[in-house]
Amino acid sequence: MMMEIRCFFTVIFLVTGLFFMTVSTVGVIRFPDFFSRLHAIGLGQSLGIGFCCIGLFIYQGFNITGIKILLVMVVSMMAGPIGTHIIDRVAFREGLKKESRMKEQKGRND
Amino acid sequence: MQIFFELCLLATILLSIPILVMLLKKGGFYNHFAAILAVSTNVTLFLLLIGFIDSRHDMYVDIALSFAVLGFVSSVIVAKFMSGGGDKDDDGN
Repeated sequence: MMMEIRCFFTVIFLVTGLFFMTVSTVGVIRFPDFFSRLHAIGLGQSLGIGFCCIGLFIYQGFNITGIKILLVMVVSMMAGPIGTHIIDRVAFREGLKKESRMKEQKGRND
Repeated sequence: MQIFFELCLLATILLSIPILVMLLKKGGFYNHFAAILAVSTNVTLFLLLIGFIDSRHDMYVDIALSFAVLGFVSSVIVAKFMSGGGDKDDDGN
């Protein structure tokens, strides 16, 4: 019985995680410029892998491997936002403009 | 649960392909690097799921942990390289 409950919650968390990763993938494809694309990557991927790691931790149970899975979750949920922020800042400093704003300004100047 | 993990693995692969195709098609260093960031998270999950399918969790969890850390370190290193090798301070002077 206990194993069924554990499998039930594993499935719930894994499906939620994959849903957020799908949302992130759609964001990467649909967003107009680099900065918003990186925004989708930083948030969606981190939340997605966070939920998936919780699901795998529930399935694995509270032992050394389970704690390592939580460690993977902590590292991934830190790495995503920090990595994307660093790249955002470098791209902005190097002069990569937001494409959507450029189009709006061009429309107004014509 | 074995089949469910395999389906999750397939979903993770299917989620990586459009990101790679779209960002590599767009060209430019920044889009390529955004693709690396996105897919490195997917590969971390990929490794975890393979561990559960292969029922050798402890080995694959270690690989996924090192891959997650390396993914983060590589983004910091590349960003430092792109911003002039780190000789500028935070305000870019």
